[in-house]
Amino acid sequence: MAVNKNSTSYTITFAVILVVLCGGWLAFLASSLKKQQTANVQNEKRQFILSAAGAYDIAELKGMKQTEVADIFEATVKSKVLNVNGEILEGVDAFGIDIVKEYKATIGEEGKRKYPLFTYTKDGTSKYVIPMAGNGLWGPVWGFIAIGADKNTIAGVVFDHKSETPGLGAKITEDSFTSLFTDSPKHIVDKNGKYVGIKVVKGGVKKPEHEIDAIAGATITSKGVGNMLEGGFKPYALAWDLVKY
Amino acid sequence: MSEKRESLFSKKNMKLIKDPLNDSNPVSIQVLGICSALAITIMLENAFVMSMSVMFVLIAANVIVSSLRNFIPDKIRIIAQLVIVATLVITVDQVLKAYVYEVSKQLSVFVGLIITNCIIMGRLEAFALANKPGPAFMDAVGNAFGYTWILLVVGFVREVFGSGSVFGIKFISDDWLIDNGGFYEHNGLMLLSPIALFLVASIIWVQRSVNRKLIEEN
Repeated sequence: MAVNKNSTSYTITFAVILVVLCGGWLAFLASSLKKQQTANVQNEKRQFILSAAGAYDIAELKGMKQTEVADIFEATVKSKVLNVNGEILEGVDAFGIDIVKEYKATIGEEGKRKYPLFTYTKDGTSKYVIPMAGNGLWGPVWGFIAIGADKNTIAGVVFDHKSETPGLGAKITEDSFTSLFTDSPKHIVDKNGKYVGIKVVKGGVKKPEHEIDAIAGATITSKGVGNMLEGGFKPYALAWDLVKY
Repeated sequence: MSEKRESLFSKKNMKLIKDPLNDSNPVSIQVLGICSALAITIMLENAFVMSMSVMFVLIAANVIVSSLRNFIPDKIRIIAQLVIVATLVITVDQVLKAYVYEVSKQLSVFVGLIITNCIIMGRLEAFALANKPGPAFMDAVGNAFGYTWILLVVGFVREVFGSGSVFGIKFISDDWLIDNGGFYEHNGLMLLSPIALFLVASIIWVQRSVNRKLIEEN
Protein backbone atom coordinates (compact mmCIF):
# COMPACT_ATOMS: atom_id res chain seq x y z
CA MET A 1 0.00 0.00 0.00
CA ALA A 2 1.50 3.27 -1.07
CA VAL A 3 1.95 5.97 1.52
CA ASN A 4 -0.22 9.00 0.80
CA LYS A 5 2.27 11.82 0.75
CA ASN A 6 -0.46 14.40 1.23
CA SER A 7 -1.95 12.91 4.37
CA THR A 8 -1.61 14.97 7.54
CA SER A 9 0.44 12.39 9.39
CA TYR A 10 2.90 12.06 6.51
CA THR A 11 3.17 15.84 6.16
CA ILE A 12 3.93 16.26 9.85
CA THR A 13 6.43 13.41 9.88
CA PHE A 14 8.21 14.78 6.81
CA ALA A 15 8.38 18.26 8.31
CA VAL A 16 9.78 16.98 11.60
CA ILE A 17 12.43 14.82 9.94
CA LEU A 18 13.48 17.64 7.59
CA VAL A 19 13.82 20.15 10.42
CA VAL A 20 15.71 17.73 12.65
CA LEU A 21 18.16 16.86 9.87
CA CYS A 22 18.74 20.51 8.90
CA GLY A 23 19.05 21.61 12.53
CA GLY A 24 21.41 18.76 13.31
CA TRP A 25 23.62 19.55 10.33
CA LEU A 26 23.84 23.26 11.24
CA ALA A 27 24.64 22.48 14.88
CA PHE A 28 27.42 20.16 13.78
CA LEU A 29 28.75 22.76 11.35
CA ALA A 30 28.68 25.54 13.93
CA SER A 31 30.65 23.57 16.48
CA SER A 32 33.25 22.45 13.91
CA LEU A 33 33.90 25.95 12.64
CA LYS A 34 33.74 27.78 15.94
CA LYS A 35 37.47 27.71 16.66
CA GLN A 36 38.43 29.20 13.31
CA GLN A 37 35.69 31.82 13.47
CA THR A 38 36.66 32.91 16.97
CA ALA A 39 40.31 33.24 15.88
CA ASN A 40 39.19 35.46 13.00
CA VAL A 41 37.15 37.72 15.26
CA GLN A 42 39.98 38.07 17.78
CA ASN A 43 42.45 38.83 15.01
CA GLU A 44 40.14 41.54 13.73
CA LYS A 45 39.86 43.03 17.21
CA ARG A 46 43.65 43.30 17.43
CA GLN A 47 43.75 44.86 13.96
CA PHE A 48 41.12 47.43 14.96
CA ILE A 49 42.92 48.38 18.18
CA LEU A 50 46.28 48.72 16.42
CA SER A 51 44.87 50.72 13.51
CA ALA A 52 42.83 53.04 15.75
CA ALA A 53 46.03 53.76 17.67
CA GLY A 54 47.68 54.61 14.37
CA ALA A 55 50.26 51.83 14.65
CA TYR A 56 49.64 50.57 11.16
CA ASP A 57 47.28 51.24 8.29
CA ILE A 58 44.34 48.82 8.45
CA ALA A 59 45.14 47.56 4.94
CA GLU A 60 48.65 46.62 6.06
CA LEU A 61 47.31 44.76 9.08
CA LYS A 62 44.83 42.86 6.93
CA GLY A 63 47.72 41.68 4.77
CA MET A 64 49.60 40.20 7.71
CA LYS A 65 49.35 36.68 9.06
CA GLN A 66 47.28 36.27 12.23
CA THR A 67 50.38 35.29 14.21
CA GLU A 68 52.20 38.46 13.08
CA VAL A 69 49.35 40.67 14.24
CA ALA A 70 49.19 38.81 17.54
CA ASP A 71 52.94 39.31 18.08
CA ILE A 72 52.76 43.04 17.41
CA PHE A 73 49.76 43.34 19.71
CA GLU A 74 51.48 41.37 22.46
CA ALA A 75 54.57 43.58 22.23
CA THR A 76 52.94 47.01 22.14
CA VAL A 77 49.56 46.89 23.88
CA LYS A 78 48.83 46.69 27.58
CA SER A 79 45.34 46.43 28.96
CA LYS A 80 43.32 47.30 32.06
CA VAL A 81 39.68 47.09 33.03
CA LEU A 82 37.88 49.97 34.77
CA ASN A 83 34.53 50.26 36.45
CA VAL A 84 32.04 53.08 35.87
CA ASN A 85 33.81 55.30 38.43
CA GLY A 86 37.15 54.95 36.75
CA GLU A 87 38.61 52.56 39.32
CA ILE A 88 40.81 49.73 38.12
CA LEU A 89 39.35 46.23 38.43
CA GLU A 90 42.09 43.69 39.16
CA GLY A 91 42.31 40.27 37.60
CA VAL A 92 39.88 40.87 34.73
CA ASP A 93 40.96 40.04 31.18
CA ALA A 94 40.37 43.14 29.05
CA PHE A 95 40.78 41.52 25.64
CA GLY A 96 38.32 38.78 26.46
CA ILE A 97 35.48 41.24 27.02
CA ASP A 98 33.10 41.36 24.05
CA ILE A 99 32.09 45.01 24.29
CA VAL A 100 28.73 44.54 22.55
CA LYS A 101 27.75 41.69 24.88
CA GLU A 102 29.02 43.60 27.91
CA TYR A 103 26.86 46.64 27.15
CA LYS A 104 23.84 44.48 26.40
CA ALA A 105 24.21 42.52 29.62
CA THR A 106 24.44 45.64 31.76
CA ILE A 107 21.69 47.84 30.32
CA GLY A 108 20.39 49.96 33.18
CA GLU A 109 23.09 48.53 35.44
CA GLU A 110 26.09 50.61 34.41
CA GLY A 111 27.44 50.14 37.90
CA LYS A 112 28.23 46.54 37.05
CA ARG A 113 29.72 47.24 33.62
CA LYS A 114 33.38 46.54 32.89
CA TYR A 115 35.23 49.12 30.79
CA PRO A 116 38.37 47.81 29.05
CA LEU A 117 41.24 50.16 28.26
CA PHE A 118 44.05 49.33 25.86
CA THR A 119 47.27 51.32 26.00
CA TYR A 120 49.46 51.28 22.89
CA THR A 121 53.02 52.40 23.49
CA LYS A 122 55.66 53.09 20.88
CA ASP A 123 58.87 55.10 21.22
CA GLY A 124 57.84 56.26 24.64
CA THR A 125 54.51 57.81 23.69
CA SER A 126 51.21 56.15 24.53
CA LYS A 127 47.80 56.18 22.95
CA TYR A 128 44.72 54.95 24.76
CA VAL A 129 42.21 52.83 22.87
CA ILE A 130 38.68 52.66 24.27
CA PRO A 131 36.13 50.11 23.00
CA MET A 132 32.48 51.17 22.96
CA ALA A 133 29.17 49.73 21.84
CA GLY A 134 25.85 51.24 20.83
CA ASN A 135 22.65 50.57 18.91
CA GLY A 136 22.44 51.18 15.19
CA LEU A 137 19.34 50.92 13.05
CA TRP A 138 19.24 47.17 12.48
CA GLY A 139 21.68 45.90 15.08
CA PRO A 140 24.65 46.79 17.26
CA VAL A 141 27.36 49.23 16.28
CA TRP A 142 30.70 49.35 18.04
CA GLY A 143 33.98 51.15 17.81
CA PHE A 144 37.52 51.56 19.06
CA ILE A 145 38.37 55.16 19.82
CA ALA A 146 42.00 56.10 20.35
CA ILE A 147 42.89 59.09 22.50
CA GLY A 148 46.30 60.69 22.35
CA ALA A 149 48.88 61.10 25.08
CA ASP A 150 47.16 64.31 26.31
CA LYS A 151 44.21 62.10 27.26
CA ASN A 152 41.89 64.53 25.53
CA THR A 153 42.37 64.62 21.77
CA ILE A 154 40.98 61.90 19.50
CA ALA A 155 43.88 60.18 17.73
CA GLY A 156 42.01 57.68 15.59
CA VAL A 157 38.75 55.75 15.31
CA VAL A 158 37.54 52.45 13.91
CA PHE A 159 33.83 51.65 13.71
CA ASP A 160 32.05 48.45 12.86
CA HIS A 161 28.51 47.13 12.75
CA LYS A 162 26.56 43.93 12.31
CA SER A 163 23.88 44.76 9.80
CA GLU A 164 23.59 48.44 9.02
CA THR A 165 22.38 49.46 5.55
CA PRO A 166 25.09 49.19 2.92
CA GLY A 167 25.83 52.63 1.45
CA LEU A 168 24.16 54.46 4.34
CA GLY A 169 24.64 53.34 7.94
CA ALA A 170 27.44 51.04 6.85
CA LYS A 171 29.43 54.13 5.89
CA ILE A 172 30.50 54.54 9.51
CA THR A 173 33.31 52.12 8.74
CA GLU A 174 34.57 54.18 5.82
CA ASP A 175 37.29 56.77 5.68
CA SER A 176 34.76 59.47 4.72
CA PHE A 177 33.29 59.22 8.23
CA THR A 178 36.25 58.18 10.36
CA SER A 179 38.49 60.93 8.96
CA LEU A 180 36.05 63.52 10.39
CA PHE A 181 37.40 62.59 13.82
CA THR A 182 40.98 63.46 13.00
CA ASP A 183 40.74 66.15 10.29
CA SER A 184 40.69 68.76 13.02
CA PRO A 185 41.34 68.30 16.76
CA LYS A 186 38.42 66.80 18.64
CA HIS A 187 38.45 66.97 22.44
CA ILE A 188 36.42 65.02 24.96
CA VAL A 189 36.84 67.63 27.67
CA ASP A 190 36.17 71.33 27.08
CA LYS A 191 38.34 74.30 28.02
CA ASN A 192 36.74 74.57 31.44
CA GLY A 193 37.52 70.99 32.30
CA LYS A 194 33.92 69.88 31.86
CA TYR A 195 33.39 66.47 30.26
CA VAL A 196 31.47 66.80 26.99
CA GLY A 197 32.29 63.68 25.01
CA ILE A 198 31.78 63.81 21.26
CA LYS A 199 28.38 64.48 19.71
CA VAL A 200 27.19 63.46 16.25
CA VAL A 201 24.92 66.22 14.94
CA LYS A 202 22.69 66.84 11.94
CA GLY A 203 22.37 70.07 10.07
CA GLY A 204 25.85 71.41 10.51
CA VAL A 205 28.53 71.34 13.17
CA LYS A 206 28.45 74.35 15.54
CA LYS A 207 31.24 73.37 17.91
CA PRO A 208 33.94 71.83 15.73
CA GLU A 209 35.98 70.66 18.73
CA HIS A 210 33.25 68.50 20.14
CA GLU A 211 30.91 67.69 17.25
CA ILE A 212 30.92 65.45 14.19
CA ASP A 213 28.62 65.81 11.19
CA ALA A 214 26.13 62.92 10.88
CA ILE A 215 25.88 60.83 7.71
CA ALA A 216 23.14 62.03 5.36
CA GLY A 217 20.45 59.38 5.01
CA ALA A 218 21.74 57.44 8.02
CA THR A 219 20.04 59.31 10.86
CA ILE A 220 19.44 56.43 13.23
CA THR A 221 22.84 54.85 12.76
CA SER A 222 24.47 58.26 13.28
CA LYS A 223 22.38 58.77 16.40
CA GLY A 224 23.47 55.37 17.67
CA VAL A 225 27.12 56.24 17.16
CA GLY A 226 26.52 59.63 18.78
CA ASN A 227 24.89 58.14 21.87
CA MET A 228 27.72 55.68 22.11
CA LEU A 229 30.35 58.43 21.99
CA GLU A 230 28.63 60.88 24.34
CA GLY A 231 28.72 58.70 27.40
CA GLY A 232 31.41 56.22 26.45
CA PHE A 233 34.43 58.26 27.55
CA LYS A 234 33.13 59.12 30.99
CA PRO A 235 34.64 56.32 33.12
CA TYR A 236 37.99 56.93 31.45
CA ALA A 237 37.78 60.68 31.93
CA LEU A 238 37.10 60.00 35.61
CA ALA A 239 40.04 57.62 35.82
CA TRP A 240 42.33 60.24 34.35
CA ASP A 241 41.05 62.93 36.72
CA LEU A 242 40.09 64.93 33.68
CA VAL A 243 36.69 65.78 34.98
CA LYS A 244 37.04 68.64 37.39
CA TYR A 245 33.53 68.73 38.74
CA MET B 1 8.62 -0.81 -21.38
CA SER B 2 11.91 0.15 -19.87
CA GLU B 3 13.11 3.73 -19.92
CA LYS B 4 16.49 4.27 -21.48
CA ARG B 5 18.67 5.96 -18.80
CA GLU B 6 19.72 9.25 -20.22
CA SER B 7 23.40 10.02 -19.99
CA LEU B 8 24.28 13.01 -17.84
CA PHE B 9 25.95 14.62 -20.82
CA SER B 10 23.28 13.88 -23.42
CA LYS B 11 22.37 16.54 -25.96
CA LYS B 12 19.22 17.46 -24.04
CA ASN B 13 21.15 17.88 -20.81
CA MET B 14 23.98 19.87 -22.40
CA LYS B 15 21.33 22.28 -23.68
CA LEU B 16 20.41 22.84 -20.02
CA ILE B 17 23.88 24.19 -19.45
CA LYS B 18 24.18 26.18 -22.66
CA ASP B 19 20.80 27.92 -22.70
CA PRO B 20 21.18 29.93 -19.47
CA LEU B 21 24.54 31.22 -20.63
CA ASN B 22 22.93 33.20 -23.44
CA ASP B 23 19.37 32.56 -24.63
CA SER B 24 17.77 32.39 -21.18
CA ASN B 25 20.39 34.07 -19.01
CA PRO B 26 18.90 34.42 -15.52
CA VAL B 27 20.15 37.97 -15.01
CA SER B 28 19.93 39.57 -18.44
CA ILE B 29 17.01 37.69 -20.00
CA GLN B 30 14.94 36.34 -17.12
CA VAL B 31 15.91 39.45 -15.09
CA LEU B 32 16.35 37.59 -11.82
CA GLY B 33 18.95 38.13 -9.12
CA ILE B 34 19.53 41.78 -10.00
CA CYS B 35 19.99 43.00 -6.42
CA SER B 36 23.18 41.11 -5.76
CA ALA B 37 24.44 41.94 -9.25
CA LEU B 38 24.37 45.60 -8.20
CA ALA B 39 25.67 45.40 -4.69
CA ILE B 40 28.57 42.97 -4.80
CA THR B 41 30.24 43.90 -8.02
CA ILE B 42 32.40 46.79 -6.81
CA MET B 43 35.36 44.44 -6.49
CA LEU B 44 35.97 41.34 -8.60
CA GLU B 45 36.97 39.22 -5.63
CA ASN B 46 33.60 39.82 -3.96
CA ALA B 47 31.71 39.19 -7.20
CA PHE B 48 33.62 35.92 -7.58
CA VAL B 49 32.97 34.67 -4.04
CA MET B 50 29.29 35.65 -4.33
CA SER B 51 28.99 33.78 -7.65
CA MET B 52 30.58 30.69 -6.14
CA SER B 53 28.23 30.92 -3.13
CA VAL B 54 25.15 31.21 -5.34
CA MET B 55 26.45 28.37 -7.51
CA PHE B 56 26.86 26.10 -4.50
CA VAL B 57 23.41 26.93 -3.11
CA LEU B 58 21.72 26.62 -6.51
CA ILE B 59 23.31 23.29 -7.41
CA ALA B 60 22.84 21.73 -3.96
CA ALA B 61 19.26 22.99 -3.65
CA ASN B 62 18.34 21.81 -7.14
CA VAL B 63 19.78 18.33 -6.60
CA ILE B 64 18.31 17.90 -3.11
CA VAL B 65 14.84 19.17 -4.02
CA SER B 66 14.84 17.13 -7.21
CA SER B 67 15.77 13.97 -5.30
CA LEU B 68 12.97 14.64 -2.81
CA ARG B 69 10.43 15.78 -5.39
CA ASN B 70 8.26 12.67 -5.01
CA PHE B 71 8.35 12.85 -1.23
CA ILE B 72 7.61 16.49 -0.48
CA PRO B 73 3.95 16.93 0.57
CA ASP B 74 2.14 19.51 -1.56
CA LYS B 75 0.90 21.55 1.39
CA ILE B 76 4.39 22.38 2.63
CA ARG B 77 6.17 22.47 -0.69
CA ILE B 78 7.36 26.08 -0.54
CA ILE B 79 8.24 25.90 3.14
CA ALA B 80 10.25 22.74 2.62
CA GLN B 81 12.16 24.41 -0.22
CA LEU B 82 12.81 27.45 1.98
CA VAL B 83 14.14 25.30 4.81
CA ILE B 84 16.52 23.51 2.47
CA VAL B 85 17.74 26.73 0.83
CA ALA B 86 18.06 28.48 4.20
CA THR B 87 20.16 25.62 5.58
CA LEU B 88 22.44 25.79 2.55
CA VAL B 89 22.77 29.58 2.78
CA ILE B 90 23.66 29.41 6.48
CA THR B 91 26.21 26.72 5.66
CA VAL B 92 27.86 28.99 3.09
CA ASP B 93 27.79 31.96 5.47
CA GLN B 94 29.44 30.00 8.29
CA VAL B 95 32.13 28.55 6.00
CA LEU B 96 32.95 32.00 4.59
CA LYS B 97 33.20 33.46 8.10
CA ALA B 98 35.64 30.73 9.04
CA TYR B 99 37.91 30.64 5.99
CA VAL B 100 37.67 33.98 4.15
CA TYR B 101 36.69 36.31 6.99
CA GLU B 102 37.64 39.56 5.21
CA VAL B 103 35.56 38.76 2.16
CA SER B 104 32.64 37.65 4.32
CA LYS B 105 32.66 41.04 6.03
CA GLN B 106 32.53 42.84 2.70
CA LEU B 107 29.71 40.63 1.48
CA SER B 108 28.03 41.38 4.84
CA VAL B 109 24.29 40.84 4.64
CA PHE B 110 24.28 39.78 1.00
CA VAL B 111 25.23 36.17 1.65
CA GLY B 112 22.22 35.82 3.93
CA LEU B 113 20.14 37.45 1.20
CA ILE B 114 20.99 34.68 -1.29
CA ILE B 115 17.79 33.02 -0.14
CA THR B 116 15.85 35.98 -1.57
CA ASN B 117 17.66 35.64 -4.90
CA CYS B 118 14.84 34.81 -7.28
CA ILE B 119 17.08 32.56 -9.34
CA ILE B 120 17.16 29.97 -6.55
CA MET B 121 13.44 29.66 -5.87
CA GLY B 122 12.76 30.25 -9.55
CA ARG B 123 14.75 27.23 -10.68
CA LEU B 124 13.42 25.05 -7.86
CA GLU B 125 9.82 25.73 -8.82
CA ALA B 126 10.34 25.77 -12.57
CA PHE B 127 12.67 22.82 -12.93
CA ALA B 128 13.80 20.84 -9.90
CA LEU B 129 10.31 19.81 -8.82
CA ALA B 130 9.54 18.25 -12.19
CA ASN B 131 12.85 16.75 -13.22
CA LYS B 132 15.35 14.10 -12.20
CA PRO B 133 18.44 15.04 -10.16
CA GLY B 134 20.78 14.65 -13.14
CA PRO B 135 19.06 17.22 -15.35
CA ALA B 136 18.39 19.38 -12.28
CA PHE B 137 22.14 19.43 -11.63
CA MET B 138 22.84 20.52 -15.21
CA ASP B 139 20.14 23.20 -15.07
CA ALA B 140 21.63 24.57 -11.87
CA VAL B 141 25.15 24.59 -13.34
CA GLY B 142 23.91 26.41 -16.44
CA ASN B 143 22.00 29.07 -14.52
CA ALA B 144 24.81 29.50 -12.05
CA PHE B 145 27.33 30.06 -14.85
CA GLY B 146 24.90 32.44 -16.55
CA TYR B 147 24.73 34.46 -13.32
CA THR B 148 28.47 34.19 -12.77
CA TRP B 149 29.63 35.57 -16.11
CA ILE B 150 27.35 38.60 -15.81
CA LEU B 151 28.65 39.30 -12.30
CA LEU B 152 32.25 38.90 -13.36
CA VAL B 153 31.86 41.21 -16.37
CA VAL B 154 30.15 43.91 -14.30
CA GLY B 155 32.67 43.41 -11.51
CA PHE B 156 35.59 43.64 -13.92
CA VAL B 157 34.39 46.92 -15.45
CA ARG B 158 33.60 48.46 -12.08
CA GLU B 159 36.87 47.47 -10.47
CA VAL B 160 39.05 48.46 -13.44
CA PHE B 161 37.50 51.90 -13.88
CA GLY B 162 36.51 52.53 -10.28
CA SER B 163 39.60 51.33 -8.44
CA GLY B 164 42.24 50.75 -11.09
CA SER B 165 42.79 47.15 -10.07
CA VAL B 166 41.87 43.57 -10.98
CA PHE B 167 41.26 41.14 -8.11
CA GLY B 168 42.91 43.67 -5.84
CA ILE B 169 46.10 43.91 -7.89
CA LYS B 170 46.52 47.57 -8.75
CA PHE B 171 47.75 48.40 -12.21
CA ILE B 172 47.13 52.12 -11.92
CA SER B 173 49.91 53.34 -9.67
CA ASP B 174 48.94 55.81 -6.92
CA ASP B 175 51.53 58.22 -8.35
CA TRP B 176 49.41 58.70 -11.45
CA LEU B 177 46.49 60.07 -9.44
CA ILE B 178 45.65 63.76 -9.77
CA ASP B 179 45.62 64.04 -5.96
CA ASN B 180 49.28 63.01 -6.00
CA GLY B 181 50.28 65.33 -8.84
CA GLY B 182 49.45 62.99 -11.70
CA PHE B 183 46.89 63.02 -14.48
CA TYR B 184 44.46 60.16 -13.74
CA GLU B 185 41.24 60.15 -11.75
CA HIS B 186 39.39 56.95 -10.85
CA ASN B 187 35.76 56.94 -12.01
CA GLY B 188 33.89 57.41 -8.73
CA LEU B 189 30.55 56.62 -10.35
CA MET B 190 31.72 53.03 -10.79
CA LEU B 191 31.74 52.58 -7.03
CA LEU B 192 28.05 53.41 -6.69
CA SER B 193 25.29 50.83 -7.21
CA PRO B 194 23.34 52.56 -9.99
CA ILE B 195 26.21 52.12 -12.46
CA ALA B 196 25.74 48.37 -12.22
CA LEU B 197 22.19 48.84 -13.53
CA PHE B 198 23.58 50.73 -16.52
CA LEU B 199 26.19 48.04 -17.13
CA VAL B 200 23.65 45.20 -16.95
CA ALA B 201 21.37 47.19 -19.26
CA SER B 202 24.27 47.57 -21.71
CA ILE B 203 24.88 43.84 -21.58
CA ILE B 204 21.19 43.18 -22.27
CA TRP B 205 21.32 45.59 -25.21
CA VAL B 206 24.39 43.95 -26.75
CA GLN B 207 23.03 40.47 -26.11
CA ARG B 208 19.69 41.21 -27.73
CA SER B 209 21.33 42.77 -30.76
CA VAL B 210 23.77 39.94 -31.35
CA ASN B 211 21.58 36.95 -30.49
CA ARG B 212 19.17 36.38 -33.40
CA LYS B 213 16.77 34.30 -31.31
CA LEU B 214 16.11 37.15 -28.91
CA ILE B 215 15.22 39.81 -31.47
CA GLU B 216 11.49 40.36 -31.17
CA GLU B 217 9.20 40.81 -34.15
CA ASN B 218 8.41 44.49 -33.80
